[in-house]
Amino acid sequence: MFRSFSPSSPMDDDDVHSPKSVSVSYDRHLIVGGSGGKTLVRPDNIIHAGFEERLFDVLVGLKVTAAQYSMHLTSNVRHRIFSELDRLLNAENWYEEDDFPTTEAFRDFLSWTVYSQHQCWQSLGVGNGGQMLAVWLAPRGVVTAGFRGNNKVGWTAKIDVDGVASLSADIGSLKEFDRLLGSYLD
Amino acid sequence: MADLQRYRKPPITEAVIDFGFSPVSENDLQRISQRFKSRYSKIEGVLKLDVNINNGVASAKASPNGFKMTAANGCDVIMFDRQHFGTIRLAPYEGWESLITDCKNNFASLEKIINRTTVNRIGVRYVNRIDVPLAMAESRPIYDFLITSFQLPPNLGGPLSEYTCAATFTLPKSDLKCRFQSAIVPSILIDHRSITLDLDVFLDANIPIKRDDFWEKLEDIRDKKNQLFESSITPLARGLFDERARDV
Repeated sequence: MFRSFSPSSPMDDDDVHSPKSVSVSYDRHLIVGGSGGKTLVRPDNIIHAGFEERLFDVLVGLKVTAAQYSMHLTSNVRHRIFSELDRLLNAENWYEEDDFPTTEAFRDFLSWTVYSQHQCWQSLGVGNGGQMLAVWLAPRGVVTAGFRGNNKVGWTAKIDVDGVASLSADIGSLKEFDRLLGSYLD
Repeated sequence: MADLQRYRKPPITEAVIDFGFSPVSENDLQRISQRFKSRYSKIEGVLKLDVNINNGVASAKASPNGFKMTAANGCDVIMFDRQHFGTIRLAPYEGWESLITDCKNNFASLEKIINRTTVNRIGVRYVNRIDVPLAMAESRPIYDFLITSFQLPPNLGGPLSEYTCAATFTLPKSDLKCRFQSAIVPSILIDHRSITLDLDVFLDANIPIKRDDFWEKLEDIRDKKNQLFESSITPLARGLFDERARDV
C-alpha cells in the first residue's frame, strides 16, 4: 500500500484512492484519461522549519537519495559518503546564504561513483549552485570535480610536469570525466 | 524456501509493512507524529490532491493527509494517514528480522492511539529494482529476466525498451491477495536499464485478533511474498544481484 517514494516506476498508481481518470504524482507522472475526479496523496514539505532543521532535512534527503544506489556501494564507500555529508551539512560549518547541494548533483555523483573505479576521493564539498564537489590527490597533483546535476562534470587538474605546474580545466560527461581521472590517477 | 537475506546485494529498494485501520481523527494524526518524531525526525506533510477534469477544464485542490517521517539515517521511514500506517526500510535492506522488529516497536506505539481490533488490512510490500547492464538489456527479451511477464509472438519481438505489467490476484489455497507490478524503467545508473518488481501481498479480511496470530499471519504473508519473488525471476536476473548465482 504505502511506498515512500517512486523513483522510477512509470505505472505506479498505488497512491491513488479513487479508481478513475487522472493521476498526478509529485515526481513525474501525469496520466489523463476519461472524466471524473481522482484522489491521490503526495508528500510535500508543508512544514517549514528554521535553518538547522532545514539543514537536517537536506542532509536526510541526500541520504534517502543515496539509498537508491546503496546496493551498488560497498559499506565502506557508503559510510565515507555519509560521514562527509555529516561533516558538510552541519550547522557549525554552514552559512545560511550557502547553496544546499542539489539532489540532481548528488545523484550524478552517486551514479558516477557506482560506474567508476576511482572512489578514492579525499574529500567532498558543495559548490556554487549546489554542485557536488570532490577532490582527488593524484601522484603528481590534484584533481577537483564539480558534479552539476545534468550529467555534466566540470573539472580542474593541477599536475606537476617536469617540475612545472600544469593547469587544465574542462567540462564533460560523467563517462568522459572517469576516463580523464583515470589518466591522472593511474 | 529462499530467504532474501542470503543475497549479497539485495535488489530491494523499499520494504514496507503496512496496516490499514478504521479512520482516526486529525487530532490522533498529530499525536502519532508527536509519538514518533524523536526517532523519525524529518517530518514531511502529505497532501491529498483532488484533481477534476470536466469538459476539458482541470481543477485541483490540495489538503493535508498524513505524514511521511524519515530517520536521520535516511533509510528508516514511516508513512501514515488517517487509515494507514507503514513501516518502511529503504536500501540497504538489513533483513526481515530488523524490519519486523521496527514494525512491532512502531505498532506498540501506535496501539496506544488505535485499537488493534480496528485493523482491516495487513500487508508486506517489497519494491525491487534489478539493474541490467545496457548491452544485456538491449539484447535479451524481458522474459529472460522475469518469468511473470508477457511473451511476444515468435519471430516478431525482441528486446523491449518499455514494458509495464500490473495485476491483482488471490493466492491459491489462501486468503491472501497480491498486487503485482513490474516495469522496465530508465536506470539511475550509467549504461544500465532497470526492471522493477513490486510485490504487495496483503490480507484485507478476517484479520487475526489475537496478538500471536496477528504477527504469525504477517510471517505467513512474508513467506508468500518471498515465494512469489523467487518464482518471478530467472537465474539470469538473480545473477545480476548475487554473483554466486551467476553459474546457476
